[in-house]
Amino acid sequence: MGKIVLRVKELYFRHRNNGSDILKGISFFVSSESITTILGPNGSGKTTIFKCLAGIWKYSKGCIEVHDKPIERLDLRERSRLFSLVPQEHEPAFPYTVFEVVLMGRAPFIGLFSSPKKRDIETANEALRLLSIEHLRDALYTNISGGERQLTLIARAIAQEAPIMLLDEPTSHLDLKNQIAVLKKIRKIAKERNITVLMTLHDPNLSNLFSDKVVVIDSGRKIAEGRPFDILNEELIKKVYDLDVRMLSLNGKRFLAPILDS
Amino acid sequence: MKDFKILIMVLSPFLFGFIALFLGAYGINAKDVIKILLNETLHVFHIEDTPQKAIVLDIRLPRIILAGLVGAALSGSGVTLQGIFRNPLIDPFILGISAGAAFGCAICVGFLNFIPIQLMAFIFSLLAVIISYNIAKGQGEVSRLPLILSGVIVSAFFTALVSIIKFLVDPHRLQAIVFWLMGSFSLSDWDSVKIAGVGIGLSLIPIFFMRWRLNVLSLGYEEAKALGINVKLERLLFIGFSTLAVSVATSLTGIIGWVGLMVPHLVRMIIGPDHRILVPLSFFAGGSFMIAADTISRTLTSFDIPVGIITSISGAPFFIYLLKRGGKEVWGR
Repeated sequence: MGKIVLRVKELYFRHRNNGSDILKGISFFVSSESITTILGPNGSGKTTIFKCLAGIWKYSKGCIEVHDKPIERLDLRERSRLFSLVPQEHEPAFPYTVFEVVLMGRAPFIGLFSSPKKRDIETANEALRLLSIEHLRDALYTNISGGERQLTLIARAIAQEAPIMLLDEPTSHLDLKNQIAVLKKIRKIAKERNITVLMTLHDPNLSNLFSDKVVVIDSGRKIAEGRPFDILNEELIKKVYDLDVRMLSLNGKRFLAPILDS
Repeated sequence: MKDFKILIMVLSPFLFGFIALFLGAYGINAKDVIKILLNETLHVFHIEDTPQKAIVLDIRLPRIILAGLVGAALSGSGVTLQGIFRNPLIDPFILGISAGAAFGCAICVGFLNFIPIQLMAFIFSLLAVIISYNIAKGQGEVSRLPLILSGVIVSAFFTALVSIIKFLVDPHRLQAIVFWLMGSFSLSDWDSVKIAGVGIGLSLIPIFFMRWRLNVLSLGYEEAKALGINVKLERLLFIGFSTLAVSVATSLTGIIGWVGLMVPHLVRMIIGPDHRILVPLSFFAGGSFMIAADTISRTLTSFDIPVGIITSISGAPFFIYLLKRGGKEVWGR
C-alpha cells in the first residue's frame, strides 16, 4: 500500500429542506493503489459519501483532500478527472449501444461545442478490451445482462481515466457468480491501471475477500476503519447490524456466518 | 445499410422540395417549371416575367424553403428537449412553448404592432418552458409524467390568454390571428425565409455542435454531473436555443403541432438514439416531413388547408400508438 491519496475530514451532510444530518462528521483515508470498501447498513450514508465525493451533492461541513490538496474549489469537470463514479446498473432513457455508453466516460475531456475525437474513441475501445467486453461493443445496453451492464459502466469509468474509482454497490443486482466475476475484474484492473478503488458493499465476507481496507459506518458515523482481518469480527457485526454471527476460518481467510437460532 | 439510410434522409428534403415545385393549385406544366428553373440558375433560356415565373420563384420556392426550415426547427427542438429531459414523449407543443409563442405573437398582432413579433414570441415561449420545467422539477431530476402534466397546464394557461386577446381584439385582426393560429405556410415570402434562415440558423447551429452532450445529459442529472457536466447550465443553453428556433418558426407560420414529437421518434427508430447522428438527421427529416405535409395541404383540395391541421391529424394517432406500444420503453422508470 502506497501513500494516502484521498482524505475525508469531518464530513457533514444534510439535505437542504430536511433537518437532520445524514453524515455526522465522517473521517477516513484511502491509500493509493488499494481497494477500500465502505460497509454499513441501508441508510447509513454510504451512497451519500459517494455523492459528496463526486460533487453531485454539496456537503455542509468538512473537507475532502486528494493528494493533500482540498478539492472544494474544483469545478465539476476538474472533479470528474479525479473521481470516476460507477453507479448501480440501471436502465437509461434511450437504448444506446454499449460503445456509446462507454464513450460517455470521455465527457470531462470534450468541450461544450465538440464531439468525441479519434483519441476518445480509441480510449473507449481500449476500456472495452480491458473489461473483455469487446464482443458487446454494438449490443444495446438495454438488452444485456445485469453483470454485463455493470462491466460496461466500469469500462465507462476506465475511459474517464480518473485516478480514483468510486463504485456504488457494484454487486447489488447480480447473482453470486457475477458478483465474484465483477469483483475479481475490479481487483485486476485496479492493479493493472494503478487505480485507487473505493466501493460500497453489503456483504462483509465479500469486502473481506476483496479489499485491503474497510471503513464501517452506521447512521452517518464511522464505527471502525482498518484492515478487514483486524476489524471485521463478531462484536462489530453485532454492534452495526444487530446480528449474531460466528467467525469461521478457512484457508487462512475468515468468514462471518449468521447464527439463526440464538 | 446504415449509410444508405442516412443518405436517403439527408437527400429527402431536397428531393421533396424539388418535386413540390411542380405541384400546386395553379397548373403549370413541368416543362415550363424546368425552363424557369434553368433560366434562373444557368441563364440558358430567356424567359419573360410571366405569372408562371412569379408563382414558381416567388410563391412556391420560398414556401418550400420556409417549410423545410420550420420543419427542421420543430423537429430539432423536439429531439433536443427529448434528450435533455430524457423523455421521448415531449415536444415544444406539449411543453407549452408553442402556446407561449402564440400568446407573444397574438399580443403583437392584436395590440403592440411596434414590437418585433419574434422577440415577443421568444420571451413568452421561454417563460412557458421555464414554468413547465420548474413545476416538474424535483431534486434536480425531472420526472416524465409530471413534466407532461405541467406542460399541459402551461399550454392551457397560455391558450386561455390567447383566447382573451381574441375576445378583445377588433374583428379584422381576429381573423388574422385565428387563421395564423391554425398553422399555415400560405403567407410565405422571401422576407419570411430570410427571418427564418437567420433565427433558425442561429439556434440549430449551436445545437448541432453541442449535440453529443445530449447523450450524456440523457443519462440523468446525477450521472451527468458525475461525468463533469454542468447540468443546469447546459440544460438552459439547450432550452434557450430550441425555444428560439420554435418561437421564430411559430411567429412566421403559427402553431404546427406534433412534428417535434413524431419526427425524432421515427428517426430514432431507424438510426438509433446516438445524438451525434440523431440530431442532424432530425433536422433533415423534419424539413422533408414538413415539405411533404405542406404540399399535401395545398394540393389535396382546392383550398389551402392549414398544415397544422394535417400534422395534428397524423400526430394524435401516432401519440396513441406510442402509448399503447410503450410500457417501459416510453415511460422508463
